[in-house]
Amino acid sequence: MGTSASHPSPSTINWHAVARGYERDDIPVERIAQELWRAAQSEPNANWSALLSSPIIATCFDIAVHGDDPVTAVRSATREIVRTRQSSIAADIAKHAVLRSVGATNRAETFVGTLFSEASNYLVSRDLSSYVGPTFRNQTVAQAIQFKKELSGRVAEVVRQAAPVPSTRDPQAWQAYVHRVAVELAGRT
Amino acid sequence: MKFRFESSSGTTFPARLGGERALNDEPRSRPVRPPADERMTTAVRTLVGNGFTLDRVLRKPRYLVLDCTRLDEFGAEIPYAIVVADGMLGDGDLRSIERDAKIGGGRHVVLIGEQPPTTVPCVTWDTFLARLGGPIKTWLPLEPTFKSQLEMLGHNCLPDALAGRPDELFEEYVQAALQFVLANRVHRYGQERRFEVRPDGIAFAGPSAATCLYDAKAYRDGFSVERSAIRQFADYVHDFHQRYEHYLGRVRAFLLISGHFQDSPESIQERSSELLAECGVPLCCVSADVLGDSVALLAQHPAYRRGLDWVRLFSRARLQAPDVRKELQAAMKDGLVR
Repeated sequence: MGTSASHPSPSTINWHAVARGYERDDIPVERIAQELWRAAQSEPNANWSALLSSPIIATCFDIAVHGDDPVTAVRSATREIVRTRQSSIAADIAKHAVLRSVGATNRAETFVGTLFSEASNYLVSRDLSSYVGPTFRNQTVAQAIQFKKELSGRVAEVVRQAAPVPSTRDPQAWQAYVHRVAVELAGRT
Repeated sequence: MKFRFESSSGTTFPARLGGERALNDEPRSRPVRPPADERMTTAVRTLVGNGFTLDRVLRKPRYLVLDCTRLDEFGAEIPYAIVVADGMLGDGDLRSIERDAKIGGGRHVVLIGEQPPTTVPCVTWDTFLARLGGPIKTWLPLEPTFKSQLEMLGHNCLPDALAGRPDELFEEYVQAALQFVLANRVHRYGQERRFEVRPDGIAFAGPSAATCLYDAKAYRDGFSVERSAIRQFADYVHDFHQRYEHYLGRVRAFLLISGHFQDSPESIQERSSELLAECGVPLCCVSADVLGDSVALLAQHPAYRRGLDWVRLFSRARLQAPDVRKELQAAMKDGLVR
């Protein structure tokens, strides 16, 4: 998964608001998570609500719920991504979520929790390295890692409380579910 | 709520109650140690606001005794003699206080002041206020009509019972409301400075006294948060940081209070993000009914006012009454404040 600082977030007001949270330690993590998901949905070319609600992610969700074992499940997910030619960062994250979910007690919840948390991690990682140092919220790399953990923990909490996870692989139900979660994450309710 | 103040000479005078006059009770800036008279009025308001029934106020040359009672969790009436001392008390004073308390029905004596260890429980003025959730500086928020008047003033309408300019009264009501809910100092610049690059006031929230700037907007049809308003608020924040950051720290939130907001929740969120991007301070829009509801809610549980995480609440684009209720329930669940 690419986390290089050479692919930073676009220079928009929404992403500037997120960056303020990386700079200052007095902005609560809860607010930063909201700003992150608002910004993530404001990009015309990479709307993360649309990316995560795509049919290939719904397929990965189904594999995560019904897969026999982690290795076979990840193989199935990879095969589907190649077959449908829907390779993307979101699909990579979904594959990772499949691996985590098969074998977990509650597969569906684990999949969606991992999906949104890892997507948040990716979005944070592409900028955070430019905001680590003595004048920033995170003065060391260890603090930055801890900060990312807190942020993805907050995202997982919102996802848990947002809406019931769909019980079918119906792409429309999946799309509606992802949209509801994204709305909650952005604090638009 | 009726009670009498009694001086040592036996002269009585009524307690000052009521909206408009109560606004003038409080001086603009707080001295390090309030003079005895201010301490008396603050102590009375804070005790009554916390559910104490005041039976009698007795003034002596070196101290003031507030005889009061409070129901405990079993419904039993606990009598107290709260003594506000003006300086160090001698043994004779202490003996006299204890004797009077015994004669007065075995009241529990609590001494407020700086005193070496005695047989009487003694707390400092600041500890006394802190135990009761902070001072109550004006009766105004405890008036039953406060919420409805606040809402009317927020819509630039003058309630029948008040006289003056609605926008100016709205600022005063907002100050009183913030002072009550935050249980902390709220400084208002006042109308005479309205043409300067300044917000309407500064509020200090939470135990760390986090700085929050605020602006009160009385608009008949509700206030619309335009891009130009965000630029103006950002100027206020930059100006404040230039002057006072070294002294008061950075601004943690900008509160915008109005009768209601014309904008959609999404648009408010957008504006809040813009201010955050511009100067690193989130905009929190508070409608008058939410502020009124918060006052009414915390008037039932005044001791918890300082226990709420106001910085977190104000980091939201819109403050909503259920958020405050949830925060209060969390503080009550902790069970640390009684």
